[in-house]
Amino acid sequence: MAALRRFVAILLADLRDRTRSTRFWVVMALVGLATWWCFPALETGKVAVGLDDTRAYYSSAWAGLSLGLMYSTVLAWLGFYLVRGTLVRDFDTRVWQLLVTTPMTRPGYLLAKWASHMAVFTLVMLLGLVVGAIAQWVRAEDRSLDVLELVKPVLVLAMPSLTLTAFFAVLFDMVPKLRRTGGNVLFFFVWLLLFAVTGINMDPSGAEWARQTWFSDPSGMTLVQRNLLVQLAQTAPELDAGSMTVGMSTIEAGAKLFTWTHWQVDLRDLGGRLLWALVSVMGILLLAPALDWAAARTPRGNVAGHHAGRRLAWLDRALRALERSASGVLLSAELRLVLRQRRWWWWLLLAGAWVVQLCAPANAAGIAVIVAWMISLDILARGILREREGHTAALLFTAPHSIQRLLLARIATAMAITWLAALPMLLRLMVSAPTTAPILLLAASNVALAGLALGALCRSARPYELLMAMLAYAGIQGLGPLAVPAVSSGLLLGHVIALPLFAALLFLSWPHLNTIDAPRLPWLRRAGTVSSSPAPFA
Amino acid sequence: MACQLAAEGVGYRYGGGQDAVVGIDFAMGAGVLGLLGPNGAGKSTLMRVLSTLTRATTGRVSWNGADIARQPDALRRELGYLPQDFGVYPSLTAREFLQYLAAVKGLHSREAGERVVDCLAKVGLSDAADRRLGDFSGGMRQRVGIAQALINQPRLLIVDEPTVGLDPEERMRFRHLISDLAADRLVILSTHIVSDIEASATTLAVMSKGRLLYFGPSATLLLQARGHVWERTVTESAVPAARAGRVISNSLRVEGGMKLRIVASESPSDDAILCVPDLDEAYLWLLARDGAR
Repeated sequence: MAALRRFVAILLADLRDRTRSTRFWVVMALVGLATWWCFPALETGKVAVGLDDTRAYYSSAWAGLSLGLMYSTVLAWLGFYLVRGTLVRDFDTRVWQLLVTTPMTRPGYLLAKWASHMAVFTLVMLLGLVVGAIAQWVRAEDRSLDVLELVKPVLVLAMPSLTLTAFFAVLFDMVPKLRRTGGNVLFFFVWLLLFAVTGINMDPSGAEWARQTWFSDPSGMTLVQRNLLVQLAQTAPELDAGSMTVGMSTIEAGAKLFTWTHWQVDLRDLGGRLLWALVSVMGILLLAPALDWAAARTPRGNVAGHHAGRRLAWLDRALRALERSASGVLLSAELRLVLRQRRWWWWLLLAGAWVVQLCAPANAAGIAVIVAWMISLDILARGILREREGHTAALLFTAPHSIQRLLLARIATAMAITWLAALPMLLRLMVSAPTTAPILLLAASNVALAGLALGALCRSARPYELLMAMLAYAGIQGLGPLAVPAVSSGLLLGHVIALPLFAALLFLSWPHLNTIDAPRLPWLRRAGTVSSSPAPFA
Repeated sequence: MACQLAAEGVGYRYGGGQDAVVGIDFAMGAGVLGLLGPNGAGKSTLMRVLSTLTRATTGRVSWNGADIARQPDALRRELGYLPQDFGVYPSLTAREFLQYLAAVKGLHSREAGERVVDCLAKVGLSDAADRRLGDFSGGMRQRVGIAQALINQPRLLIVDEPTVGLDPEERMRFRHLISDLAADRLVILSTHIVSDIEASATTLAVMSKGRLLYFGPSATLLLQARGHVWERTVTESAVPAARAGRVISNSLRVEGGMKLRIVASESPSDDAILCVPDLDEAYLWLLARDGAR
C-alpha cells in the first residue's frame, strides 16, 4: 500500500508540474486543431487516413480508427518531445537527492515516471476523441455516435505504440549523452526505424506471412491494413484498395467512400498489441538498476549541459587578435565558451566532414556539410538559451545595451560556427560553381539564425532540434533546404525569404526571452499554489 | 558625481492580483542601505525593481532624477548588481569571465583589463585569476560575483545575500569593502544576517508583507526598541510555558534551567529583567509590533 501511495505521489507531482505550464496547454490546443485537421470535408479532396484513393464515411468507427492511427504514428513521434525531461529535471534540480533518501524503490520511481508520460498521452487522446466526435457530427456523413467504436482503435492502436514512446522518453533521460540535443535528434531516427521500417517490411499487401501473423508493427498500421483489406474484399471488392496512407494526401478525383461501422479485433491481434506494452514495461524494469548510475552523471552546479571542457591554448592565441575592442572581447569569449566545451569526437567528426567536403563527390560533400551542422546542433539550438540555462541573466541584463551587444555577439558566433563547418565546401564551390556558393552561405546563415530565433521564440531547443532532424533526413536524400548541391531557384528564393524572417523573429523574441520563470497560469497563481517571479523589462 | 535613488509609491503586483511590494517610498544618497525582512517580505522583488530587472507596476523609481522604467540605461551604466542566485561559465577563467562581463557592460578593452585586476585583488582572487570557474568552490564563485558587481565602478551597488558561502575572514573583508565603497556611492545590501547590516549599514530598511515598516538609522530603531526586551531564567520544565506565545530572541542553557531573552512590550513575568536590545531584537520587536509574525 505504501508503495502504491509513493507511486501515486510521484505520478501526481509530475502531472501537476506539467499541467501548470502554459506550454502544456498550448500543446493541447495545437492537438485539438491538428485533430480537427484529420477530418477534412469530402469536397476538399483531402484524406488524412485512407487506403489508396478511398476512405470510409466519417462514422465513429472510422473517426476512432483515424485517430488511433494518427496517434500511434505522429503522436508516438512528437509526443516524445512533449513528455521527455522529467527525470532530467529531477536530477538537475536535485529533487532526486531528496527522493533517493526515502524508501522509494527504483522500479517504482521509473514506473511512476513512465505512467506519468502515459497519463499525459491519455489527456491528449481524450481531447482528440472529443474533437473527433465533434468532427463526426459536423461533417455529418454518419452521425450515429458509437463510443465503444470511437475509443476502441485508440486503445488498441495508440496505447501500445505510446507505451514505447514513454519507454524511450525514460531511457533517453537516463543516458547522459541522450538527455538533450543528441537524444532529441536520435529519437527521430529511432522512430523512423521502429515505426516506418517495421511497417514497410510487414506490409500485408506485399507478403503472405504478413497477412497471417498475429504480430503487428509498433504503430499497428499493418494490423489495420490487414483487417481493412479482408473486410473490403468482402464488402466492396470494386474498390481494389491496397496501400494504407496516414497523413494528409490529396485525391484529385475525390475520395471513394466505403462504410466502416465496426472494427473486429480478435484476441490474437490484441495479444500482438499487448506485446509492445509488455516490452516497454519490461524495458522500464530493466532500466531500474542503472538509475543511480544515471543520476550520478549530472553536471555539478545545476548548470545543465555546461562543463569546463578543455583549455585550448591555441584558441586563446587565435582569438587574441580579436580582443582589441569590447565587442571583440565579447565575441572571443562567446567562441571560447562554445569551443572549449566541444568533445574530442566533435573535432574528429568535423575534421572528417571537412575532408569529405574537399575530396568527395558533390552529393557526398553536401551530406558532409549537413553532418558538420548536425554535430554542432547543440550550439545552435541552445546558444540563445545560455542565460536561462546558466542562471547568468541577472548578471548580464543589468548592463546597459546588453541585449543588443549579446545578441550581435551570439549571431556572429552561431554564423561563424555554421560557416566554419561548411568552409571547405564553400571554398570548393567558389572555384567550381561560384553561383552556388552564395546559396551555401545563405543556407549556413539560416541554419544559424533559425536556431537562435526558434530557441528565443519557443524558449526551448526542442522545436529547432526536431526541425533540423527532419531537414537533415530530407537533405541527405537530396531534398529540402539543406541540400545545397541540388541547387534550384526555389531553394535560393526560400533562403532569401527565410533569412530576414528568422532575423526579425530573433530580434522580436530575444528581449522577451529571459523571463525568470516559465509563464504560469494566472488562475493557479491566484489559488496560491504556484510561486512566480515578476516579469522582467521587455 | 550625483548619486540619488528615490522610490515614490513603488509597488509590484503579480498577474494574479497578489501584491509583492506595496507603496514603497524612500530617497537616499551615498551610504549603505541595509534591507531586512522575513522570507517573502518582498525584498528580492524590490531589489529586482531597483536593478531594472523588473518594472514596477505602480509608482516610480528615479536615479539622479531619471525614471528608470523609461531610461533603464541611465541607471544600468552606473549599476553593479549581485543577485542571490547566479551562474558562471565553468569553461572560462575568473579573469576571462570578468572581461566578458566588462565587455557586456561596455567597458573599453584596456580599462576592462585594469578593472579586472583591481576587482580580483579586492575580493582576494588574484592568485586564482587564471583558474577556471568550474574548479572554484562556492565561496570563490561568490567572490567572483562580488567582483563582477564592482567591475564598472558602480555608483549604485545592489547586493542580495552577498556573504552566503563566505568564510568568516572573507565576510570581514567584504564588510570593510562595503564600508570603503559607501563613501561616494549608494550600496543596497539585502541580507538575513543582521550582523552584516549592523556592521556596515548607515540606514536600515525593514520590509514585511511587501511594505516598508521602517526606514532610518539603525540607532533610532534600537532606541525605539528600548524597554521591550527582557531576560529571565526559568527551570527546564517551565521553558515551554515561558516560550508559548512569546517572541524569544535567544535561549541559553545555564545551570538550573534556561536563560531566555524575550521581546515583549510588557514584562513577561515579575522576575524578568529589562535589557538593552541589539539589532536582531529591535528587528524582531518591529515585526512583532506590526503583527507580521
